[in-house]
Amino acid sequence: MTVNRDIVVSSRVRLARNIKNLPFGMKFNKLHSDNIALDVYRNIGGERTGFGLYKPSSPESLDGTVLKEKRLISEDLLSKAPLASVILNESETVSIMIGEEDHIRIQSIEPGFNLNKSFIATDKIDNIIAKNIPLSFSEKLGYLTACPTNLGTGLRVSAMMFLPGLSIYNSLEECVQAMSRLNMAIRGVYGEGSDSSGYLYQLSNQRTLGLSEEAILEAVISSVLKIVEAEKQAREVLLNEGGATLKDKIRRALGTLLYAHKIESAEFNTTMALVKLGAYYGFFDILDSNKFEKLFIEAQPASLQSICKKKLSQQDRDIFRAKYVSDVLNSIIQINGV
Amino acid sequence: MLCDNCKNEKASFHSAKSINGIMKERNLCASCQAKVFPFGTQMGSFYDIFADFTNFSSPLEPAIRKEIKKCSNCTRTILEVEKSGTLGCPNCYEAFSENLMPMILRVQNSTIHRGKSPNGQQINSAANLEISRLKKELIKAVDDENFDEASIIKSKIVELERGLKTE
Repeated sequence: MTVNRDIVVSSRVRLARNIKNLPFGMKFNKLHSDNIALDVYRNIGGERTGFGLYKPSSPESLDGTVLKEKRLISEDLLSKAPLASVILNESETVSIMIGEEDHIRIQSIEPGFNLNKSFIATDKIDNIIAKNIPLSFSEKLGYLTACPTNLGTGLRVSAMMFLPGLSIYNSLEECVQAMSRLNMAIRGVYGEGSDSSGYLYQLSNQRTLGLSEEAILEAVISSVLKIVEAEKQAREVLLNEGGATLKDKIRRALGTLLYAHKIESAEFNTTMALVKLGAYYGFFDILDSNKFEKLFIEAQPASLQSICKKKLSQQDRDIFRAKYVSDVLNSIIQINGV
Repeated sequence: MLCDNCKNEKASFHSAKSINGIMKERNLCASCQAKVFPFGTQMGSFYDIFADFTNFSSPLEPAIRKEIKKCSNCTRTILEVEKSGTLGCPNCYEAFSENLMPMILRVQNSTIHRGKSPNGQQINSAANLEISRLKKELIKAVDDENFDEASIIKSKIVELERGLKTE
């Protein structure tokens, strides 16, 4: 089945690892953190292989928050700045977080539905690290992690999914129940349960122990495909029942994004989600889907300030967001019909 | 019955849960249920996972416990583990094994690791995965009578398998 980014936005795989004989995260100190970061960095080839080592200066730092908005680091890692570090590749598809809840968290994010590629990237780095750095491992329980919910493989495979059809029809609860029986979890990405969520959800495996990495990966892939099928059907029903009202709502959303003088983050998420749905229905064409998808992150508060290269008050940020979004959309959207 | 949260709307979601032997009831309207628990409560949090983690009655009553278990390596106590939801060091798995294993079995449905290990066993899972993906592609190419593509896929498989043998 071909799955486009209009349903599966991105694929993420994460492996949790800890150094042998060291206490877990809560008792982690600066010396440990810096040593591990340097050790991992050297082992994976450092600059020579196109990786960079970064250290957010504080939890509020702009550069750190931008990395968080791009999902390259977690909220937890940023909160531990300046103790924690992150190793990033040039294309920003691989990030190795040092000093999170677990000492090492290897993560790979790929656009669209590409879980295999993400898994291969993390597995490769894990193999390199394991060759030279002693890891906390038990024959019986596998990789030992700070929280038992990550124990065993330390593997979390997740897909970020755009699910307006299922959300609008209140069918997500059913999907959550069905997925839960398959040991899968579905969670809202941000602004859970409200319109400002932008209908973004994360589907991931709950079990990490007792299954091989391949079995976990395949189970998540097959669950994603089931949700994709359900979402496609829900979108069909939505279109048939929504008719002119739905089209009007979507076109008004585009109008807001193209002509508003200022847009808050929540309104941006809601309206962009509707525009994305409109593009799926063919109400307009998106000429550059990468640019369109990138806009979801670029319009977040820290990323906007990074683009603007200065700190902005909330009002100035909302005005800058409106102008930036309008400029980008104007250059990539073509409206079809009336 | 009115919603526990907004005290305005009629409660349509009712749940009751026993945490450390204390029954907690929750009655919410549809809007508050969506806000507070966007996907119901069945997902659980770390705290829920650890709720029946110990045989103790309540974390607030440590005085009545005869002896508080402690990890000899990191000195973390079972109470700290219970409160934070995380362990202090790898040795905690052994120190609190009696308490942890039933919880791990319930959450993970297993207590035996079946994945890769750092010493090389199953270390080529990525290559194996790629081989299994290519094999599926090969079958499809043959079914479609696309023999040129099948031949390319076949040589990729051979190359990957050779790599596995030489490692």
